[in-house]
Amino acid sequence: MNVFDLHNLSIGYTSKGERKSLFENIKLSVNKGEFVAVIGANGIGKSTFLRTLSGFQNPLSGSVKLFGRELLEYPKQELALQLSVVLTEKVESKLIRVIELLSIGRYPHINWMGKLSAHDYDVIDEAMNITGISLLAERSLFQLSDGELQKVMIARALVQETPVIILDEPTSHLDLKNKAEVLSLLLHLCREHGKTILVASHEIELALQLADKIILMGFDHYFFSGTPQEVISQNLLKKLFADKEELIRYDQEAGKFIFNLRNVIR
Amino acid sequence: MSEVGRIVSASKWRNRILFSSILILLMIAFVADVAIGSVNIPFAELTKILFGKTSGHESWNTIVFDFRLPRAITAVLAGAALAVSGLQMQSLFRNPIAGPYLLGVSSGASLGVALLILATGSLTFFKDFIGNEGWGMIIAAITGSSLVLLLMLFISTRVNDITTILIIGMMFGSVVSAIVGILEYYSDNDSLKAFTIWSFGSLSGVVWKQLHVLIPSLIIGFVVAFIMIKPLNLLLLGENYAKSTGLNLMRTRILLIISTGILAGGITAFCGPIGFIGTAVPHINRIIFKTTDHRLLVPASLISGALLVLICDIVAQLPKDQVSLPINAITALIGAPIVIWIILSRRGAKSFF
Repeated sequence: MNVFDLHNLSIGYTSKGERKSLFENIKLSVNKGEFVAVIGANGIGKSTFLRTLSGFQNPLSGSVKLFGRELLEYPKQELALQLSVVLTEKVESKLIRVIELLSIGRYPHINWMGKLSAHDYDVIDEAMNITGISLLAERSLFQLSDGELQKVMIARALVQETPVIILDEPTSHLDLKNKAEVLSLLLHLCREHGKTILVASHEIELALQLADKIILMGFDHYFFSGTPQEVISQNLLKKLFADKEELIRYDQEAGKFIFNLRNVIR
Repeated sequence: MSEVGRIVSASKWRNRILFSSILILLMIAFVADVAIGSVNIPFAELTKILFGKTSGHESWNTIVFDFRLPRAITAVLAGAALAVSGLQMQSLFRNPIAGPYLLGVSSGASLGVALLILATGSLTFFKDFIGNEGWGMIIAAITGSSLVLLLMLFISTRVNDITTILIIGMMFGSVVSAIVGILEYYSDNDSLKAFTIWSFGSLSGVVWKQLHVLIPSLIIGFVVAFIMIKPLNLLLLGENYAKSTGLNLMRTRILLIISTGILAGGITAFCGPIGFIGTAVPHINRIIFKTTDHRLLVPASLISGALLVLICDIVAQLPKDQVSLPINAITALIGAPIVIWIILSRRGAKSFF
């Protein structure tokens, strides 16, 4: 069974009764164990797309099915067992310690008292080992660097033990090494732990190398999903940015973006 | 044992010792609060009376049973209820200086009582209803405080700034005192007198009959608070993370408002507005127990809130005069510096919550 089935999905939002559609008639399926990268310019609607798939936001029309069941029909409790998220927003409490944060991540699996069993602690232990944050267990969030914090948030999604993880720009604000670490960690989770992962990222070059599937959200409501090879061979990356001055172009052979700053600096 | 299990069980022992110490201090403070007063009662006689035997002095029995015991019990209830309601408000509003007093919830309770006494006081039916037992008072106060909580929740979904919300809470307090002032202007002498006596508010004004109303109401509030421990922890993550971890946000908000309204409104109904306990106690506990986990913070705030108000009441009795110092003044003297310290320390670490 497919993990996600999107059928005639239109995403966007309504403000003051006015319907603002970002992308229309999206058709797409995501298979189990796929590493899916969502790429697109700032403000194009990547977050709206992922929020719709996470159940935070209703679609304007059409349907999102998760494991064959309409996403909106999932009770919150059951959805929390299928899908976990890493968001761009910060955790509200800064004083909370890593170990407390991860314990709360186990809540969908435990009773109303909130008491964790030895098994729960094992799951937390494993998640910390996989993400390499075992030494941070007793730190408060405000004591962590951006890179450490992002790994902690991924560990938090892991302890939820869901088959699907959705991440919105987990690599932003990170240095190069942390970017590579986070993305390869996500790939590892797909390959070794059978997770299905959707990740929005501006690391387009890395995404093209690592992802099984690319979802490209371009200007003029252009939406494409397919393999990285298709994206490259059909030269779809020019759809990414409305770039009249031709400041950037993708070099297929080098697998890199080239900046043509000379065009504007005279 | 897993690494995590080891860390958790290490802090467990530390917390148990701290918790027991606070509990022992609470019991000592309770006895001290009963022992101290304008009339000196020998300790041996006091323990006799407390254990249900009658003392030789008839008046000592009356003093302990009808005055000091209800006052000490009220102090325990007030501290516990205000601290727990403050803790709930801080997590609900994601605001470290939230508390029933600072966000105008006590003002809402006052308005409820004012409307009840002043606006309807001239009707004999209501006078009987208000009576001494105070069901009318507590219902009016809880309704008033819950309405303010709803209003503040509505505002806090639009304004995210702590200072703005605080100012709105203070403005609300001013509006309430203005409305009360107008009501006073139009009301007759009897109801005006009744309201003025109420608004002085003190722990010693509460009699057994009223405790029969107050205790069951507060128990409902406390039970809901304990049921909400898991949702309160989830709220620490922020709304979206909480939802993605299975939280029903709307139900959580409604139950928290009901619980907070009962706890803060109930106490305000009988003791008048008591400030700063609700804001300060949860922070003291976060520091003492080094945690943000409500499984610890709810019971810890409950007992340490009770302890703090008992201590305040003991201080209020120290002049050994016929009348004690107003409890409001003492809690403000102790609580306000803590709140100031919280706001100042926020600039450094941004990590008080």
